[in-house]
Amino acid sequence: MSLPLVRFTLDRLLIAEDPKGVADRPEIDVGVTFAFVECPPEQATDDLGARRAFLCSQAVQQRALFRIEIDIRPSHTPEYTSHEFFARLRREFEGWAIAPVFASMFGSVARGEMTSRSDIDVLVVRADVTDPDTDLWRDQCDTMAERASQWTGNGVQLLEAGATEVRDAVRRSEPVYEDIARDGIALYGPRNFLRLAMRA
Amino acid sequence: MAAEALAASDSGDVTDASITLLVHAGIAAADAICCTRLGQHTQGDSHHDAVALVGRVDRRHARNLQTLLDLKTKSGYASVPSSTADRLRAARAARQLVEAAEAL
Repeated sequence: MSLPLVRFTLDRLLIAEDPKGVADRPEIDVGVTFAFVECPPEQATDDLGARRAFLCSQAVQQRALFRIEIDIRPSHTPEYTSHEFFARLRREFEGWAIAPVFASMFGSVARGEMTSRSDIDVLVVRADVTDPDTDLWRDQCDTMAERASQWTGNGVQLLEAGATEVRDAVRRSEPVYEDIARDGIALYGPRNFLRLAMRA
Repeated sequence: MAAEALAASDSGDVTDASITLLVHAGIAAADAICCTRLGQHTQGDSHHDAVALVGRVDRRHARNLQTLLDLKTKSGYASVPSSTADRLRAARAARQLVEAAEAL
């Protein structure tokens, strides 16, 4: 039976959740690591944690109130499962008045290992001429982090550095940048930014 | 504690240790601000919750704490010492939080 899908437009009600919490649903296969859950706004509470718990309990216990939209993908193709989340972040960076040189998701989200307790790791590389303490730059970083948290319910860990600083670190073979070059999901700028720095 | 950590951070060529102290100073100051102004402080280890809570008092406090936590993250990732510029950024953010706490 096809369940009714109740749609709404408020971004903050789009919840990402550990799929293990809804794993007893027969249509969910192994390999799910990221799920977007939609619910009627009148069933949401003001508290994000309570709302998420409510949604998960509803998702597990019954299927009549709303349908859950879940991306299912094998663990080696993280872009597919989280494509909506990444698309939102890409749009966010495209709107920045002071553009970054490069931005990328990395860590557990990029590896497809995210859980409800995972932090979202985001690398933001600014141009060398950009003062990291200017209000506008900080506003952009803070707003991006806040929105990413609101969309997912997870905290954001921001790794923010200047372009030359990053290139120098890449040439020193800093492990974090090697990891990002290997597993990262580019959100802004040339996808091969780090690999180009490795060859330079 | 916040003022002591802030003072101890201003010594020698030990940038990462300085940043660690400055982060501790900022967290302690943020906790003091939250306790005084809100009657609560964050109990867990969620950076996001800590930033959100102190942001209820003043968005500038949230920004300073977020700056410190970002620099802590950065310091933890790198195998070489943090830059002097990062230490100065951390010092500025921590000092503003400590001064705000002391002014309460």
